[in-house]
Amino acid sequence: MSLRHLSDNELQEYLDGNISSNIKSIQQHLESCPQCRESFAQYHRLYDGLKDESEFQLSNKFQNSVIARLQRQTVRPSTSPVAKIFTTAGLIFAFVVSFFLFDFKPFLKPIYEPFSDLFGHSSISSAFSNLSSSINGNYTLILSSILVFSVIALIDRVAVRRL
Amino acid sequence: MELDNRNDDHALVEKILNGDMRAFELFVEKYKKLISHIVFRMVHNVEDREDICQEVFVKIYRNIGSFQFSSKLSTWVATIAYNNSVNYLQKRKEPLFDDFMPEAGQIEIADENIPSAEENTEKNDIARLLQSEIGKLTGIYRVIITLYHLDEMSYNEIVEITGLPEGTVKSYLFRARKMLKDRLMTKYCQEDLCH
Repeated sequence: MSLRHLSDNELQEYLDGNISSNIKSIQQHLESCPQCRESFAQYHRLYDGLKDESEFQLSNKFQNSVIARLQRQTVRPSTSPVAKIFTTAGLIFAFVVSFFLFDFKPFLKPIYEPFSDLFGHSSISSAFSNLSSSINGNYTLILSSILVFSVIALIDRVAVRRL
Repeated sequence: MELDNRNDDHALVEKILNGDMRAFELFVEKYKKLISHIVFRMVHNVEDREDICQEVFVKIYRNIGSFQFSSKLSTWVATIAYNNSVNYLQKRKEPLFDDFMPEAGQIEIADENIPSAEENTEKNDIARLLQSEIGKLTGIYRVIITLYHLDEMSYNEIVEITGLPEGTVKSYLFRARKMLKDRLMTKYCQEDLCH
């Protein structure tokens, strides 16, 4: 048996279950020392008391009040700023690739044709018709970058956020 | 078990982000206990407590999209509740970190939580005596004791919530428990604790 009384820290560590090495000697000391046993009992009662939940009662209408408050303030859950950036990048990418892959000239013709008299037929039609070819030539690097961003966005939403 | 809980939280957050109000009601049901533990322990004013709990949930709803599941959802929720309570205490200039126990009356304590000597003798209720003594501790002691004992959080989780170093969290916890034990012993020796 150890002659030294157990310290408050040792008693607390023992009650917390954080002592691994000298449990046996602590137990032996507690069996033989009434003073430490009393101190241990006091801590034990304190630990039991600290688990008391009776002081934490929210009113019955609490949940309804929260929902009403949200509706009153018309609060909406926001998505993360990173996700917003990636989603926007993905949309831009889809838009650009669609120009890159498909010829939209027949669909766009009814849009620009009424204005061709005002601005000159050749300039507008050539602007649209040259768009895909200009992308094909000069913007490969930008397209690749957007592609990388979009893949990361996809990974972020599917793997990390699982959305 | 913990993995199941994480998956549940993922699904719940996903539904909330999709605008499912019923999912948020479930979220409130699941986390109102944790939030009330923190807010009620830190905020003495009974009238303000429930309002702060509501504010915490509104803040959570607003910012839930920024939660990336890099920590447990409960830790994130508790951090918001803790920060809101700290802001409240700072506005009212109440001590959070003072390393002493103010005498009763210096901090506003809900009357209903202070048992009279007569009540104590009659009811022999050590839990109520303890609650009034906890109320006299400074805010940081109160919240650390609550997170550790009531919510069974680890030192790491408490570190994440409070932003304090692990050594400080441990030292505050040990000191607070010793203070409580000593004060209860001194004050109520002839009652419960001495028998």
